Amino acid sequence: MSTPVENPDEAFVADPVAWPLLDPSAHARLQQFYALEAHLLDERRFRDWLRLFADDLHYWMPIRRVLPPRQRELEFTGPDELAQFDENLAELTQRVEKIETGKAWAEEPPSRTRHLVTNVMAREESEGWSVRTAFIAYQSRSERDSHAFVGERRDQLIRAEGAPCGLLVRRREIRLDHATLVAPSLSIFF
Amino acid sequence: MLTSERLAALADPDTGDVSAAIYTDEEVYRRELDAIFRTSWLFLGHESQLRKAGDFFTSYMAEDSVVVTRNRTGGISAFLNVCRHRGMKICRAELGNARAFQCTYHGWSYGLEGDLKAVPNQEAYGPDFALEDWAAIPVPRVESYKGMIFATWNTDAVDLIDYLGESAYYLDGVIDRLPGGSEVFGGIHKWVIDCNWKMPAEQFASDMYHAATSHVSAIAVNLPEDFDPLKHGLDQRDGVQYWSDEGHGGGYFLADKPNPAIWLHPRAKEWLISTYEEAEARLGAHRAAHVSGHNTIFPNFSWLAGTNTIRVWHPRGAGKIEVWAWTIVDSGAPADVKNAFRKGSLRAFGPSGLLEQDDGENWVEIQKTMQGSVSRDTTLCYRMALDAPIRRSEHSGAHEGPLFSDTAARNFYRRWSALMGSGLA
Ligand code: FES
Ligand SMILES: [Fe+2]
Repeated sequence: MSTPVENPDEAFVADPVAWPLLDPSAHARLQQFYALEAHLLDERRFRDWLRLFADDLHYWMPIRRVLPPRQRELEFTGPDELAQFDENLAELTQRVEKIETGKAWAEEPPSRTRHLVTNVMAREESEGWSVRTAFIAYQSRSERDSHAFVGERRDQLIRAEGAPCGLLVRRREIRLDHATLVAPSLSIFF
Repeated sequence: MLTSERLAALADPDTGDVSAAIYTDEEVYRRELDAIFRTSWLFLGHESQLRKAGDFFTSYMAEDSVVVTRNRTGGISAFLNVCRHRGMKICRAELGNARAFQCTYHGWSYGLEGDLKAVPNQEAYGPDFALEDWAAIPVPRVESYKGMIFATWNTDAVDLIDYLGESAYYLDGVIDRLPGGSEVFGGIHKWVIDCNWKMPAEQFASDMYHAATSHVSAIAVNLPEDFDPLKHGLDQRDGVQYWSDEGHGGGYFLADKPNPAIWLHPRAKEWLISTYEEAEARLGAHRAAHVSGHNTIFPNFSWLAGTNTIRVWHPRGAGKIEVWAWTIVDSGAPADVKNAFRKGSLRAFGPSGLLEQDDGENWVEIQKTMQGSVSRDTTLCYRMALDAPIRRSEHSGAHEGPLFSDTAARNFYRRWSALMGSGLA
């Protein structure tokens, strides 16, 4: 068993009463950014999707576990443990390259996906935004197979001149609501 | 009804004719649960998951949930995760540390060895009620091989080391390369694939053949610029398949120096090469050089050398499995090397793995297709290398032959048929 992960975001909302109203223009920018991202994914424009990420990206989906109360802080695997995804930008790009071969059989024929990203909660930071969103990623495959992946994304967005909506994702932690996955693979992106 | 005649028609290990019904037939599956999974040694987990007294994890033996603990005397105990009162799960967590497990239905509590310690309002059961009579069902045989914990319900089973037989030689090439042995990373990949458990078990025993087609996209994006297919063993002339009478099997590419799989993390490849001499002194040149390959211990435990994924294909009905996959690494490796194995393994063979994705896709489609009345009676072709010369390995003593071959699969079904047929009318 590993040591608990230090999670600086644990008290994202320390006191609900003190939670500041998000500036409407910031809110619109973040929502547009996520709608754009979902659009690119669902249109399978993966190369354009990759343009939303910073060069020093960390894209991470830990494994979720069912734990007793005393070990509950270990619910998500830590950085020295296994994960569902643990990617830098080059590694994430390699996944796109695999699909582009046209012979990645879990994505050929292509999955039909719909990413719904909502419940935007954002905190402004010096370089950009720390954002939490809820998502449903629906995947339909073959004739009638379907899987729904549901969870939370914890993003660190940085302001970037010339980037789509002026933002780039530097860090993304994806927390699925599933423990044992009820799907044959994770061949889509989140 | 399943009779020995029908069983013989389902799988003929001599001709290599196998009926697709072995993947779909519910009666076959129900018999497997008893004839295969109650008689064989099954993998539960790794000792490094149980470092101190009271550490526990839950695992499965086929569909049966079991609790595995590091008990107070430092040994390992395993018991059925079923409360003797009304059958509730005794332990509902995947892992943790505990002194006792209290059932959340009526509060019976069990010790680390499955002993019943306390029953609320015990006096209501009368004076003859004895806690000793209602312990959790123990798993009667639990043995470890170099940290790998196996168990069986079969009190007459041979010892684990004899069951592993010649396969221990190949397993050592992954788990005993260097002094200090090996350990698993925290976190187990657990996911569900709608396919029969024998598809992956048999594939890991016998099927290097699929890699060039199934995994073509993963190979393409991992090719080094100076790639030479002969040197990197995508040609079967460079390989060997092995199998043993227990039903185990595997395959690997020949090499005279370590030739790690192309999808390993660069730092992991370096490690396998830089520790070659140390591993050679320990294991001999043959094993030290064979740093990749696929393997199955009958019935449902498999591993890939080099990528270091070790996994169990837990059956969940005729048409469903739950895969549990750990990653194992040399305990003495430096942190950056461990990290390289961790990343390389999850990126190649986790549920999102660049290679793993391809296999699940095939198995799911097969399982769906085989539901058809005509489809399920299709005879499948397991005839590759039917007449190829075979020999005994000078290294392990296992049977061996050409790498691209269905021989280890036929051998898997020979063992399967023998166990399934025992006591059949
Ligand atoms: S079922 Fe466990 S105490 Fe009743
Ligand atoms: Fe494969």
